[in-house]
Amino acid sequence: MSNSKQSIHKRYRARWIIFALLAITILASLFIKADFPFPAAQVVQNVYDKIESLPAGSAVVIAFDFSPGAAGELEPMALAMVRHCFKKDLRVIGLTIWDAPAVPIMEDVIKQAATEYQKKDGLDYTLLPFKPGLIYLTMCQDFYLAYPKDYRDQPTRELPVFHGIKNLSDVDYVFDIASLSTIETWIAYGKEKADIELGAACTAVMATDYYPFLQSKQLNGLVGGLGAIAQYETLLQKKERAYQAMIPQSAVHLLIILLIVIGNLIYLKQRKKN
Amino acid sequence: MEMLGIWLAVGCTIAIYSFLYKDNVVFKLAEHLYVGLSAGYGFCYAFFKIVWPDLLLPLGRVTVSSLGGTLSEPLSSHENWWLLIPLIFSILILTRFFRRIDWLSKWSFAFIIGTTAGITIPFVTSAYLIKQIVPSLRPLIIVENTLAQSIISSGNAILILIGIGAVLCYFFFSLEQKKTMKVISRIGIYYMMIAFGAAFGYTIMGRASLTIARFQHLVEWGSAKYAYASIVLFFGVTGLVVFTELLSRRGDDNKPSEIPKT
Repeated sequence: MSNSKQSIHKRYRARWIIFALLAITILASLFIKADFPFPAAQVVQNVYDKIESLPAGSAVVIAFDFSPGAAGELEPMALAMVRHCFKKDLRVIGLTIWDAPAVPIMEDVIKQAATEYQKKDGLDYTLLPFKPGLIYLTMCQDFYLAYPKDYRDQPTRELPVFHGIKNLSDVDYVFDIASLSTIETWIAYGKEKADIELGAACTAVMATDYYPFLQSKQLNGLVGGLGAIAQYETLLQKKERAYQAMIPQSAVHLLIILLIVIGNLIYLKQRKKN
Repeated sequence: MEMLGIWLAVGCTIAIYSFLYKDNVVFKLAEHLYVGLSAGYGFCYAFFKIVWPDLLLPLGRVTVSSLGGTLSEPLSSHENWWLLIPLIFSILILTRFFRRIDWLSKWSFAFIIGTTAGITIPFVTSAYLIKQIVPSLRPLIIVENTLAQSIISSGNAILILIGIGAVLCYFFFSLEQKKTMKVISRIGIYYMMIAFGAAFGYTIMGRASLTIARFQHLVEWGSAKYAYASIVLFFGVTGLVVFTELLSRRGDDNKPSEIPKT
């Protein structure tokens, strides 16, 4: 076997070892049960405090702008946020602007939380159908023009959940849960035109992109990635999927750090040899 | 029905993970199922929830009313005629499939790009440029309630100023990167490396989160409540991958060997 073939073979074998180690680490750590303090970062605390500060009956728009591919990371946040709103007796308006497949996720999450807190469809919450494009601008003018009917084809004007809401400015808080760039569009159109109070949750990959918007106060808070969602669950005292994932998450991080160190040691050894 | 859905989810998850071994028939099946379902769902949703109720139905009502027909619901007025404009523009986009008249699609694109640019530019300039410049120009000495807070806030403002200046210097190509410029640019590189490092760390966390979420489901669905779906399907899908792999290898062995080129 030539040297290059041997090297490819070795690399292929190393890939397998990494996959196996990752799988074993995650599986083993999933069975470890531990309770540990998990203090919230200020940006997460801000979102929590905002919901806490809203009086009962306030209207909150929750945008489910994530695809099923990111549901593993963002669905726990969606559930935590809807639960928090229902716990505080806030009205929830669920919608999605990015992706049609987010609609069934939105339905599952809101209905699960509604069952837990005994909330009624049309009175305490509503779900709006998927509308693409610059629907923000229409919402800023007239909510009922943007969404004449809810997901059950009921006229939105007649729903008690919309009482006192004419356009987006009348909503007390907007929270976007995004796996794509909708946070930016909410900032550019919703925040700029209707001057809404806006918070967001996003996948960990995107989190660093949105820190500048916190400094400029265009976002009041940010829940970025599963770690931050676990912090939110801790604040809410509903330690569920995100919190339970923190032990495997830490184990995976340790493993990756270990692999990086080993990789560097091998590299240094080879360099010395050559 | 729920059980069937869970078994399908487990089967597809394991089939997708079989790609870690190599690109294989079972993975391709799951991949095509995923893409096909997503596209089909998206299309049907868009047609039945947007195109049909917001465009075709109102236009149909207008047509029925114009022809003297009766409607089950009263039509307020003929104000929906304007919907013909988006309909025509939509049809014009489809002319791209016909070479002789494909230039007509440019009208639609011109309208879309022109409108979007007109609406977007003022908002985006304000949101991303002006609002972002303002916090970068904060005073360097910030007095807060406590001394510690003041030191942190002031230090933060100074770090931001140094970062912006250094990174901008790195991308300033009109001056040769020598002496002072080189030192400042290097500081800019360090700033960027820290930003990239943070993004990379977050990316690892994101990818690990998705894997953990899948494993959480697989462990949950591997219990007796779900008829050991994960365990049964792990062996089932693995067996199928091995079987198809053996079949393809056998097929390769039976192929006539290529005649070497002379």
